[in-house]
Amino acid sequence: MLKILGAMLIIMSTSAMGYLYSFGYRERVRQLRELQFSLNSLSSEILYASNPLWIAFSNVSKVCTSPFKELFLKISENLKNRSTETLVEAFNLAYNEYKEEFYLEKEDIELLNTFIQGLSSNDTEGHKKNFNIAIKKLESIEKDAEDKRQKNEKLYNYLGVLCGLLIVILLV
Amino acid sequence: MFTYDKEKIKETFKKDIFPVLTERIRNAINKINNNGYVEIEEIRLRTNKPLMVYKNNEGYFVDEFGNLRKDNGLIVYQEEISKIYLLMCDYSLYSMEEDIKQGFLTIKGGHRVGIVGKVVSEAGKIKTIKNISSLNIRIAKEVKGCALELVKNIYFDGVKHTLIVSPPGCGKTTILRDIVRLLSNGVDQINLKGKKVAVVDERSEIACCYMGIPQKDVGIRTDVLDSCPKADGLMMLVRSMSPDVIAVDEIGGIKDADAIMDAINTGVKIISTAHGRDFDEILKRSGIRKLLENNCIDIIVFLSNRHGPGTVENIMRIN
Repeated sequence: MLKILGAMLIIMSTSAMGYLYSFGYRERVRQLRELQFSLNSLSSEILYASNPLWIAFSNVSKVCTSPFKELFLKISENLKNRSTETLVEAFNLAYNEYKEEFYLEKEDIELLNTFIQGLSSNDTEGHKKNFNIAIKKLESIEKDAEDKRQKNEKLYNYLGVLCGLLIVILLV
Repeated sequence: MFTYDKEKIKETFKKDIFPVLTERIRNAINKINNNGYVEIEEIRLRTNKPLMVYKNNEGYFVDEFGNLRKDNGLIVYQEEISKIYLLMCDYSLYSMEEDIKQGFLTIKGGHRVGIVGKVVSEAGKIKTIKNISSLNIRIAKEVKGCALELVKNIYFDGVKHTLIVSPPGCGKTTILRDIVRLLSNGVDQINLKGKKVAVVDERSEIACCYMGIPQKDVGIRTDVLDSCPKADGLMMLVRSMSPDVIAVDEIGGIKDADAIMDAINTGVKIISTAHGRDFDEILKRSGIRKLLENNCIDIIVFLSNRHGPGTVENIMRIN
């Protein structure tokens, strides 16, 4: 009886590990989609309403979900309080605070960084280009992420369960 | 002549001016003896030149310990100017695009900042200014009650079309703002009931709007159309807000004059300002000449700097 309970415990914990590992892939895709959505809202805030960035970010934070909600609100606060000297610093400061909640990879962050840098340009044309480039790149990144997710999600789920089984069999 | 409330100006500096300066410059200005910075009218920053302030119409260099000197002062660097410029725009240059094209910004609190640098133009039109080399911060000071005597003097028998004339820096806008406030609230001493006043604030200097909300007291019955071109704004206000009085700043061209004449036909009174030293000088402005020819100005008030900003030199009644 005790043996069966132990075996089940092992299988359950390894499957949970597998699930958690695959969660990163799912979440990255979700976050990339959310980012595309927020950039679209941001572009209308900037190109049509011509709001200053701290207002634009605070408005966008109202319509998007966590963790971007907190990130944008923090950027908005940093800008409003003028706590940093440049825009990119304001972004990095905010991002580092919520780093753990993001499942983005290095290329995603680099893209975001370049995009934020482009926000300091002063003409509307420049902004349109900046948004277009960022959104196009995000689309292709999202596609790759989605492929990766499809490949890996099931793999890690099964791997978790099978690892558990293997350990149990070896122990028995 | 204006009398300023020192505590209030100190507050203005802390809230509006210091946050947009870099630390070095902020410290230098803050250290000026006995809070001497409250008397500053202009702060001038030029690339690789000493920091300069103007008070009582005289320029001084400021060194890093806050001493006012005539020989030398704290050198301002290019990076500092770029940083300050970015801070003034709230890191959002695009939101100031239209203002930048005209060569100035209005920062929170309604302070106007003149900018020069390299102008980028296309097909004869200015697109933007880059490589900013100098900034001139004009501290907007509100002087409540400064126009009371004037208003009592000129409006005891009702509001009239008024033009306020002076060279720059003599308090035209300050006087205009106070007239707007007084007319809007009403003046008991001369039995003047509060009027519906509308303001076309093309350069955000009268009501000093920040995000559309007036930062200065312009009275209880005042509607402000912020950053709107004068000629269009006048017609919009006549149509939409049914004002008794419309106030506009710095008129000059024929287009302004035509719009004012149109508005006057609907029965509103116009209070405006213009640059100039005396009557002969304003006659050279085509728009003002046209207004005078068509009896669209009843009173001209000339201001000067003789006893400080806001000295009334002459009140000229026409007709």
